Amino acid sequence: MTALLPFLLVVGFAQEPGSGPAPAGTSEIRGRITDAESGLPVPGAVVRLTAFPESMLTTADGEGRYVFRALRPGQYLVSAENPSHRATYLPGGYVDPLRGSQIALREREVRADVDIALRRAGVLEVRVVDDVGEPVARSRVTLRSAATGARIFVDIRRGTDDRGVIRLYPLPPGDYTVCAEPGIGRVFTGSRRRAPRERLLRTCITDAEGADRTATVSGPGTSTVELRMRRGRTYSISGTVLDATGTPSSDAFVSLEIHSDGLSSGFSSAGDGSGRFAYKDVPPGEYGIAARSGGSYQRPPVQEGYLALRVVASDLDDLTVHMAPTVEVKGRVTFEGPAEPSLDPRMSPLMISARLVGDQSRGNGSTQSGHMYPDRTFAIQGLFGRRTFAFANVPRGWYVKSVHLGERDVTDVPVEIGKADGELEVVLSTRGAAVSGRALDGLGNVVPGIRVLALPADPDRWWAREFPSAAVSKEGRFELGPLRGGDYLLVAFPAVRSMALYQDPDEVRRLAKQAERVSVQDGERLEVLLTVQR
Amino acid sequence: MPQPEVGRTPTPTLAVGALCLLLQAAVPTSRDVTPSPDLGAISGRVTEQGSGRPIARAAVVLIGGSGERHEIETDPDGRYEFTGLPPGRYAVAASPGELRATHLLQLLGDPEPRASLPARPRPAVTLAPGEVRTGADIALTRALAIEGRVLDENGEPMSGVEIAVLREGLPHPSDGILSDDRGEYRAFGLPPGRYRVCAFADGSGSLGPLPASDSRFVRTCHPSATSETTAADVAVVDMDIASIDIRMQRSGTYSLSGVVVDASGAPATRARVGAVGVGHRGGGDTGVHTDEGRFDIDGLIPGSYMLIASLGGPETPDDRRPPAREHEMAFVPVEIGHADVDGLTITLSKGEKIAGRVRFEGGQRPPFTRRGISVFLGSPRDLPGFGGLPVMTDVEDDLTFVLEGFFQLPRFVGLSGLPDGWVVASVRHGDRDITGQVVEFSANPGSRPIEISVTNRAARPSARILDQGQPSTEHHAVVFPVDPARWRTANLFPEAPISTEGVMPLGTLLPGEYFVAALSPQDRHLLFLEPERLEDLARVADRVTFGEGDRQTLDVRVRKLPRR
Repeated sequence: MTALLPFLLVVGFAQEPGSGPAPAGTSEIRGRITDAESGLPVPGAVVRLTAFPESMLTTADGEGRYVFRALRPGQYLVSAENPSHRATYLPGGYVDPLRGSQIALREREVRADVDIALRRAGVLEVRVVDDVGEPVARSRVTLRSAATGARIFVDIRRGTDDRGVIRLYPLPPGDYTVCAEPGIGRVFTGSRRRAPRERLLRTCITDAEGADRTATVSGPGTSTVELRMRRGRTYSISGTVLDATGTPSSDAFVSLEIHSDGLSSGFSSAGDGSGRFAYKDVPPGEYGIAARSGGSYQRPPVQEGYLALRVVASDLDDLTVHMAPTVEVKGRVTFEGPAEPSLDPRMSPLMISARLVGDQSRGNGSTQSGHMYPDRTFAIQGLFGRRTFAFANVPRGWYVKSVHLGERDVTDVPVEIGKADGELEVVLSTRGAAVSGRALDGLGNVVPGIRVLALPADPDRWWAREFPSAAVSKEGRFELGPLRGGDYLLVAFPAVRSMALYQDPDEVRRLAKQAERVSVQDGERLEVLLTVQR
Repeated sequence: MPQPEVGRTPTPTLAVGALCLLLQAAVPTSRDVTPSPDLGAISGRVTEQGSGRPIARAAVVLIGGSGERHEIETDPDGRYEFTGLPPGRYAVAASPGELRATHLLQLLGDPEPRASLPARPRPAVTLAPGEVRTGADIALTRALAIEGRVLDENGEPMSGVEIAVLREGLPHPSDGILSDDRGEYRAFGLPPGRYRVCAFADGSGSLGPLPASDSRFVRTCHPSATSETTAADVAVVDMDIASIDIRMQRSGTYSLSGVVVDASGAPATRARVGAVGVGHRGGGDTGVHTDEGRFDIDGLIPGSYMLIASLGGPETPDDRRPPAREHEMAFVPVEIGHADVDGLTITLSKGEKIAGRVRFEGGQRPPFTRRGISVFLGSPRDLPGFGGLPVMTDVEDDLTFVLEGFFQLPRFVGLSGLPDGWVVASVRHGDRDITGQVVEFSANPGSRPIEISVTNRAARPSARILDQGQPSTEHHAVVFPVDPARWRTANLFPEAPISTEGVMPLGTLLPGEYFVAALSPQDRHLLFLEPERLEDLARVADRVTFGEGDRQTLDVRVRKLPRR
């Protein structure tokens, strides 16, 4: 019955440019898009008007002028970027030096001065060569901002050409970490015979000591850098899949999942009917082996197992993947408070995820998730094994107070998922603990652009990609909460690194090392002084 | 998940650069094997054609008689050696090495380089017991490139434009070539030949689809051609070719408008309507919502479209609960010429539901395969863009099934996951025989069941593929019924292994008359891209009759798909 849904996605109903903020208002925003350097207009520049969560687009005319008419009163943001099929400028947003970026529009108001000057973008031309200096073709080059740690999204459709060259753009001035990978999905499942083999491995530009070295884009124009890929040994992964009775599975479908730089992808499957699996020529990195048996087009696998792996410097042979019967866990969310939160259907609904204990891999790994439906129910399919639960898209001002699976309280403890568990009851509340205080640098000064994060003290819960956090005010104060009572690691860090936190589990580990441990009880208000970490 | 077999692409061929990704097998070395006087060796040198320069770290692949592959790398002097080889026939291929696109794949003994390594390349070396063959040298041809700029009507460079390189009407297997920030592109890894270079600009910015405008870029081939006939050939001989610029052309755009009424006949409020190009991407995909039943889609270039309207249904793709409003959809083919199309009425209908039963002839149910069998409603091969989304359901243990939630579209009924040797004998819908036929099920009341009869009284012939009188392992046999009424549902690209003697099973076929021919991978790809060429193939194919229980191996000659 869901087979027709991809049509809807193909057609792209989700995006509705031009039908954004409801028209029929009486106000107007207009302005001019220019080149910041020359002051000349940028004809065809694409201009976006956002009244969160909706937005609409228009293009600038021959003089760089644009207009959004018939607007209703409200708060608006305006941003502009390159004309279609141009790559000259960096995207830019309108900012009033006094009033900031938000435009508060009144009835019948015409704002005619919403001008944006676009800065020319920089280009980083990377040439990738192998260890003997020959150009590497079809390699994927990734960038991270050295300042924020965030991945820079460049067009991933392109790889290096036959000369090893790729141009990455549009880039703001700054320092970048540059890495090249040979491409993912290149793992071979082969015969029993073992053949250690060397191949090109993921490599970042490093200095002589092996520390990441950055490439600098100083402004508009092309900066060039060469990256020499390492070659190194590959390894084998092999083992047996056992079914729920402990016997080698004759019908398991085995796949190797590759987790690289926060991205999960690249399946390749193996399995020869004897429960054995073997992958050869596997480069060092993080992987997961998923085994599934039974199931069909409509039904999830009957049994499933998952093993997270890290290949470092040795073959991983004689592994065992234990399968267990899969279970669909149904559940319900209860909002406990004076009033239910207003749930905007256009926003992402509460997400309930469950992950195997001990799965430290980047990316999705063994995580299975379900979304809360408008009637507050949800379902997570394909669960098995010992798991912890985590939540994302928790409405502002609420926290997850308790999680029960049938009779068992599984709020903070892992649970072995079984057939007769009963429903998952999730209670959200507004009345938790609160932590407030000041976050200052070592000399007692206020630092701008800082956030405070509350990581659960239990590292088994760090796989969750959403943690309670709060911005630090201009006075250096923050108010964090509501939180569930418990032990937390508090850390104040530059807000620009928040994105990296979401993309890179190593960033969570790094922050945890700099954090301060606190303990709060439900209903308690705690006051702390934090030192800002760089 | 089992997939219906119709509409599947031919087995992908391996791009040159991908060679090394797939071929790493154990390298037999002297320490791996017990020394035996029967074991031989093959050695040689890999050099660059013309200059004679040795190529270090080239990837050399040895393919044995049963298809097993071994890969090694050349030493700094370009030398390679495979040892410990049992007597037999071997093919040897060399390519420039991991992630290099400097040279082309070359098979030992082949006159020309290849774009890809065949699944079963022709053996070039016959090794006698204990024979040590030296001098199996391979010269690699330099891979060539075409470069140029993509320009708009004002001569300004355009970035992010997709480039396709075509050779003899077929896209060259190149991965995602896009023009860069300066509007420049470089298509590389090309063998010598005559090419056309075409560009497609989707017109979107990185912010998302832009508002409709009164003109759009259309697919344009070098130098500024919007049709195949006016495109210029680019001859690539022995050097990279530069300055192959493409000046992108625009077309006027038109609108589609009308009303959407729901299944009860009332104007549909907030129905979603989109137009998807059929056989072209020219207009892009546009989605709008109806306002009091009316819709208006702007910015479409001339061409064929499928209008898709949808109301109600699940809110998110993964929502499996009953929706708040029952899902209604409609599919309406529309042709846009050089004018707006107004006054369309789209009538939505509720999802169809048909029950059915599978009957195994003779009453005997063979053991099912592990994943069970599934019934699907397949899309005919000539409805591109819709082929990949069949409606599918499991057949229950009591052999009944219920297909539901599908909408009025031309479809045919198929079974996947049948046990070996069994084939669909007939499909009846009520009292109509719809075996191999394309039907719109909503034209019939959904109450009548589908009866699928499955038989093992079938032919299971094989083809010995002959290329100029010699067995070939590099071509594929294509078999299809003589009756043109069944062509839209024929499975032309089954996955079947080809033996070293060039013998390929033709599958399980109902007794009857068939056309059979063998095609090169290129022609097979062309047939996949252009289903209407089956007509041309029928004119040059052999006509054969298969009877019940036939298991013969017949000689099938390689035919060239007539060029149009």
